[in-house]
Amino acid sequence: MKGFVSILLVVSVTGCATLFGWSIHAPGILSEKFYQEVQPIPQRIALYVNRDLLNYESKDRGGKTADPQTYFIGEAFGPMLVEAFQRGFEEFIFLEAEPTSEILQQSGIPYLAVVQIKNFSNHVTWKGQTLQLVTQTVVLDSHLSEVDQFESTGISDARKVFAKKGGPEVNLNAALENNARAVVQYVQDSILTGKWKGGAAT
Amino acid sequence: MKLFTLLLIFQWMSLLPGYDVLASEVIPQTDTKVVIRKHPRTGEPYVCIIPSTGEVSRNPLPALQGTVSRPDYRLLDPNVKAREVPYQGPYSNRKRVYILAASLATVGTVGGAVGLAAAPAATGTAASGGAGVFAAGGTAVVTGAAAAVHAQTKINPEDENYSHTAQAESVRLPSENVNVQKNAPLKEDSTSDSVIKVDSMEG
Repeated sequence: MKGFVSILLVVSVTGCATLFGWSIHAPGILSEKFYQEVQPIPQRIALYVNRDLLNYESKDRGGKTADPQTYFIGEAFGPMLVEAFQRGFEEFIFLEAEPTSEILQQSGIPYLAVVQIKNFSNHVTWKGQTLQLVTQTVVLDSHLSEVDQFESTGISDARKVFAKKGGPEVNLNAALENNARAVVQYVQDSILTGKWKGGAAT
Repeated sequence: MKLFTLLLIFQWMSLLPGYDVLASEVIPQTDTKVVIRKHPRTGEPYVCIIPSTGEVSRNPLPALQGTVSRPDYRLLDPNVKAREVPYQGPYSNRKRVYILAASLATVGTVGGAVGLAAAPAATGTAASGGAGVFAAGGTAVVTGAAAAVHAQTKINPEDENYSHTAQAESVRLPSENVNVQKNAPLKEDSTSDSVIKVDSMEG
């Protein structure tokens, strides 16, 4: 009996685990639901993301007995953030150049959002999977002075995810989308309520 | 006469294309240019400011192979069968992974797969190392005291059999919050609190 258990342990920890594996690429596109829930506001805003965000990957397998998993987060989250800002703001500018106050002033950009990934976590159980993405956003004005800083969390919790074709991918997409939605809605809310200095819409 | 001629030449040169002597007196010129890019998934155009020395054709947002449609999150409902919700997008084919792992094992280079299995349980890894966040304005991200009120709403609690959460909260330092309130006092009763949390819970 002991031998059987030890063989089972060895196979489950090493043998099978090395053969099982998931490479999970999210579609990287927002759902129709996002477009229903987020309406654009008349505001010019720029977004800057570090290259590290676009290359962000996680090998968090979510549990000791779970198959190895690689989540390609950045490749999907980057385009989703851009799409979310496109939807949320009538005048959106994506900064690929490193931001300077000269660039912002020359382009008449009152606010710049700098987003970075803080943490990604995966929790796999027999029933399902919970994915969570946490980001931190710094909002700067045209003089590169900090206006606000906030943390956003996007979670998707679903059952029988791995049983369906596209299940893990859609679950990841949902977690990323929820994060992007939190970022955009926080910024919209802050602008519309005049929370930030000079928060009048352009 | 010579001075007049020099002034005339100088003024004529300023009219030449690309000779921006006068423009720089108003707004400092930056080494950037503006381009229009198409979103790699939706095709929607958006404005980009890129370094003037950069390669215009290379979009940093990665493109995806194959056709992608907007995801329908009903796919996450365990009571909904996969064939009822059309899905067009990338998916992980475990058979292919098995074959790859098997072939690597056969040729004796299974180290990659072993490394994958042995990866720590909670590692988020940026593939390329770098300087970290953009901090040109001296604004490195720090975690301060969260000052927030949670607002929750549930979307279709009876229809959705999965849970989605979107939440954002301010992490500004308390002293910074005081400055903001001085300049732009917040309304007390509105949804303008620093936190937006949207929950759609399973039914």
